[in-house]
Amino acid sequence: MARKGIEPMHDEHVNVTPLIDVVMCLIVFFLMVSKLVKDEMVEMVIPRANVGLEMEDQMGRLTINVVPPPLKDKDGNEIPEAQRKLMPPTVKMHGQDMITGDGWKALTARLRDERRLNPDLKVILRADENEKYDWIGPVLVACAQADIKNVNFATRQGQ
Amino acid sequence: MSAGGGGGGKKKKPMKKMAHVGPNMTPMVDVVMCILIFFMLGSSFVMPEVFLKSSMPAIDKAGLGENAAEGKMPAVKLWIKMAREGDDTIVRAFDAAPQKMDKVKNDADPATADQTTNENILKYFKAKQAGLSPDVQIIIKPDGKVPYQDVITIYDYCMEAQFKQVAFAPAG
Repeated sequence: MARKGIEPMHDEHVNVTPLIDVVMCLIVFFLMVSKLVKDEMVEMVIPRANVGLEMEDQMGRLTINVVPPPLKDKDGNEIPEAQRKLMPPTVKMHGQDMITGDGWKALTARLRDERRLNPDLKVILRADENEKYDWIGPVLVACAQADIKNVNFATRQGQ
Repeated sequence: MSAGGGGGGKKKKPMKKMAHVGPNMTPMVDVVMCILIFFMLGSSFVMPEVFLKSSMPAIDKAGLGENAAEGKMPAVKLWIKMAREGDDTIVRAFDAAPQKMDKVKNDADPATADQTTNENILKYFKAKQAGLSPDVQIIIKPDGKVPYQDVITIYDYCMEAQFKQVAFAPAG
């Protein structure tokens, strides 16, 4: 008696459409997160501290970056260290430069608006370890003038 | 019984083998997977940050900002003054003699390994805190040229010594 052969499959390929859907969602998620991280966590060497704590509640956080002058100019030429030391840093919030023609007023006004929208605002201050206090103090004063008392200094672990 | 249910007495035609007519997705899946792995690995290299919390960040000329009346400054204030002299930061904490802070510890530079002065500042803060009322306001007043790391080190020591109220004054 002849044995009955296995019936041919209707589609021999694995259906990859759901896999691509999921993977595309993940890629879009990572792209959006990387954009947020790029705006919030500008590359710089933040200071060290012994007693820094992880932030448990991430709601209402607002990051202010005091960004040191760039290593290279617009033409790609390296800026000498002596010249860099004389250049002012850039104060950025949500990826925008906050020190405009009005000086620190723009930052104070923006912080007041943010505070009005969110009374539980938490400011995270990120600055390079070598930045002079000349550029840190006015950010703290702007926070005080905007009535923001919850200011957190971003640090890395270990002295 | 057929799964369709509506066949009645009709004999079902055998399904024809479908030809694969869509585009070949294999190279796309390869590329997309590579991008995904890149993002996943990249996200794990982001350096974790920890935070030094402050509940009273700064005092301005008027006092504490707009609602100065709500957050009234305590009557007793103790000052930690920081000044820059050449490449050194000098700390004048409360009634102690001025002390030159150690250079920031850098593993690549063995000359920065000795942190004795900074450890002594921390010990002094701890001893001072034991005899202070919790109402006392500590104000850190750095010179404009003092590097941020030194300001954070002193604030870190204040936190470690458990001073309750620490504020910053504008550079002066």
